[in-house]
Amino acid sequence: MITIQNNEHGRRILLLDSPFALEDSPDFPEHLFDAVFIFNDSVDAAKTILNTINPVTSVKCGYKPFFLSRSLEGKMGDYADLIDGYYDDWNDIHALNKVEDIISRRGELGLLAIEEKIVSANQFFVRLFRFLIIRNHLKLEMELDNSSATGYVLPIINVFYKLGWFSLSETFVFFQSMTEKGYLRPTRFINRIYLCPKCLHSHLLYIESCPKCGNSMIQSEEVIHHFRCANITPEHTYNFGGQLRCPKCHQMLHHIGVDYDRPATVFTCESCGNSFLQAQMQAVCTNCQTVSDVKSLVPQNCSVFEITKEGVLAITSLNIGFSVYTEFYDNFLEYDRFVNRIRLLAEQKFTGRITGDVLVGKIWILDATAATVSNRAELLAQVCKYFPNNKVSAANNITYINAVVTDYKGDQEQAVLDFQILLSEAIRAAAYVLRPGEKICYTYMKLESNGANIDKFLNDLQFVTATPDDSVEYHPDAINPNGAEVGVSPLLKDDGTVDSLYHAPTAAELLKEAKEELEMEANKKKTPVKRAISWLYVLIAVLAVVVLALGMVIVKMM
Amino acid sequence: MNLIFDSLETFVNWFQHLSMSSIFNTYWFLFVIEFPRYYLLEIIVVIWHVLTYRKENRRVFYARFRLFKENPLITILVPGKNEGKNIYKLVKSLAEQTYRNYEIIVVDDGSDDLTPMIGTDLERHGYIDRFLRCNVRGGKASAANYGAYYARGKYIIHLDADSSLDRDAIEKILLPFYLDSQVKGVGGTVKVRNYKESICASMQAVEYLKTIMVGRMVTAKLGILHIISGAFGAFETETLKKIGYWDIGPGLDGDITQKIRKAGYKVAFAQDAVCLTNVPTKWTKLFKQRLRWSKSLIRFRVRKHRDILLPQRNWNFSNFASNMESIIYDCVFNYIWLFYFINLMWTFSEHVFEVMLLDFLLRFFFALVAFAVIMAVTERRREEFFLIRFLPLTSLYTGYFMRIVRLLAHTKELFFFSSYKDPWNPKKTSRYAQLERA
Repeated sequence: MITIQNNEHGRRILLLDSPFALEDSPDFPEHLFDAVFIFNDSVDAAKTILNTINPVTSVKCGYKPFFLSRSLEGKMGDYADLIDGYYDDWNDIHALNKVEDIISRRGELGLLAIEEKIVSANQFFVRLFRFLIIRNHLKLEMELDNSSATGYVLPIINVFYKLGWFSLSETFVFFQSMTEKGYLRPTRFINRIYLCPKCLHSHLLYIESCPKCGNSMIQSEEVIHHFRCANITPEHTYNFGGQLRCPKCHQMLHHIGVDYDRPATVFTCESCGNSFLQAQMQAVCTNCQTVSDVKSLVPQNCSVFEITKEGVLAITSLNIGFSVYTEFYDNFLEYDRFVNRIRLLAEQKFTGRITGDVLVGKIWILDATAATVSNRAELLAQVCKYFPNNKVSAANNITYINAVVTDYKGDQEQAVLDFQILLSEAIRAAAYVLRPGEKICYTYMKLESNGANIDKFLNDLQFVTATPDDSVEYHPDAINPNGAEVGVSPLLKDDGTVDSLYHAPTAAELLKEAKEELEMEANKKKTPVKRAISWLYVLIAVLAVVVLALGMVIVKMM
Repeated sequence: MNLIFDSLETFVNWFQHLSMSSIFNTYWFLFVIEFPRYYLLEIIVVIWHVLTYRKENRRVFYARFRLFKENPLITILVPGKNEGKNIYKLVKSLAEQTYRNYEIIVVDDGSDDLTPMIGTDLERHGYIDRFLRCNVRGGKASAANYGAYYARGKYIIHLDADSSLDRDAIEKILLPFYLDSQVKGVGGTVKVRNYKESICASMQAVEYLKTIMVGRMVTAKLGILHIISGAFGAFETETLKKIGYWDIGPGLDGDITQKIRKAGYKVAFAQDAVCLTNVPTKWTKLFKQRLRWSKSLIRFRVRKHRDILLPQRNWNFSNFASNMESIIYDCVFNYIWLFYFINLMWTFSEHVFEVMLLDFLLRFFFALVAFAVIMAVTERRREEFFLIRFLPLTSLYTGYFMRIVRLLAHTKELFFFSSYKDPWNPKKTSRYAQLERA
């Protein structure tokens, strides 16, 4: 049954008691009803209805008040946040007030207009956040939920995740960019959790396994060292009818610390017989069945978030845009995905799957007070264009470029230098975004191959250095090279130098100077002075011997 | 200048008055005791070696064929403390070997630096096959035994972590096992890697060439080889197991050689299997090292394995000769030398300078002969010819420094059992060793 009834305040209530294809039905256009009342005592039926008809994803019911039968109160689980009240009568005084409240709040926020159909994850999140703002639900409490993919989850998000409105990485990216823009603020840190590097699920099984064959059927045993004869073997070789007896010298062991001790514990794999000191920790993802080393798991901070005032304004404004760059530039990555990529590269570098150097270039702008200025869209766009084959990201007032460089001629240093030259040219090409008093700088970081300091490396990514590799000052004549061929600045001459319009030396010149300096240093070491000194030593030694001999002779003569 | 010539003139005058017999009487120690053992014997054996070279070469060829046909798994055992930084270099030098079928076991004996991390990392990335660690130090013997227990190879090659091998060293050290099936332990030649670092190191380089490369080749030919270097030695795993692996040191390399000999097997020496190692560059460090090494002669040869010297059921002439040779030459003759030297100084108190000078010249001459022997045997003549400039010093080094060190060490060990107090072993094990044997 589906009908529309007027309540005492003249609002029209859509009453329904069974699933109905409301979105597709031409009989019930959006403007015919102001609120929805689901009149069914079954929890499952109510959930089924809410899956299609709800105030977030439904176009016709967008942001409208939703009510359920009183008998379902407290039984709706994750769906509870979608519901505005549980009443048996739509003319209940509270229900009447609630409908008025919500309609007036929508009016205040300017969200009365009909929304479009949701086509992207970002659109969904905007819709969800608007819904939460209308309901004055500004604090986002994460809860532990065994049915959620990430462990800690906002219940209402979990409902829609299960319905497949978005992917996990899209959630992280959205929260990350909202936090970066200041629209969301973490108010309380809950936990740092580790996620599967492939599917970002948190449901992992941790197993100790043999580092050689990966089998987890392993046993641990202590090793006994008998001082008297230096025999040192696992405990079972000493077992002699319940007593400990040395297998080498057949003496009984009496007192730990006096005649024997237990210096180590070894694991033995029952599958391949390998014995080892440290079992390898592995994580098996229960979702995608990936087996990964615990070192490659992706860390994720879980916090309680709050929508800030700026956030409310931005989200409710009708022209909110997200991640323009992902839509315009293929090589742009959001910062946390960028970090995950670096983490992945580090793991690959560590295990030898890639041989090149993993580099991250950093470009930033300093104002007259030597403080970093927030990221500029033009700069990012320019860098994205300049490095079409590298991943580019922006955060912390820094623009990042990731590169894995390999020189096939074997000159790895040259490959790194080439990347530096490219960065140097890029900041010249992007110099037009500077305002008076500002300067643009770059530096680069190289990931060391031992992989041990990846966390330090990622931490260092967030900061700029006081000594950039190169910088360009503001110049009024700097030209926007946009429109020119992508990747080549029109300011670059054919011979690789930059037009003299910039007073800063070119990268090639800087390199040449550096090389000359190095050569001078090297030449200094070969000075003849040192050689002379060493000869002097020899001379002194010879003289000393002669004098000694003379002395002996004189003594003899006397 | 005149003074030098004058003193030389007095020396020449003195020398002219001496007859051959009086020179012989004065330097009888050198002519009667040192010359036959350290010079004449070596020359004879080297000539023998050169003459039989061709025949030997053919046998080696077939032995090599059998080795590569069987291609047994070899365990390379590297026990050590705080050696993490050396292990990677060692592994890299092993990767160059001509003999490929080996596993590497590194045993960390309670290191207190980054060795455990380096070891586990190398193991995880497959550079070494097994990394074992004792959380508390138990001494070198226990570390070696711990690794040997897990060895799967037919032969165990015991290496020091700071040594590195020639490309064909492993192949060469395995050949004696295939030349003679009674051989159960083979020693390799140890040479000095840092021989240019200081005079002290250069002197040791000369000494190593003389006493290890040539000296052990000679003793091995005569069947009285009494030590397989701890830095580079190969053993058959089965035999090691029978004799109970290593016993507590210091000097455990000499001890295990004697245990193999006592078990009725032969030991051999491969002078062309070369291992380079770093030696102490400071005289004080060298002094301490040699004190420790020399003490083991008394501790093991005179005390622990005295049954070799005594007539009993297990008595064997070559074992007896091997032990007696080192006891007499390294210990007894040292004391005799002391009295000889004091006596010499006493009788020639007028002509000390001339006596010493003549002694120096004679020893220098012998050193030149010995060096010629070394050059005849060695396979890297060009590099080692560098050492010829240090020959004048050898008479001081081996004639006085080494003798004094040995005298001190033997006296200390004979009367004070000082090797049981050596911090080279942890206290707990030393104390127990002394309780059991002293």
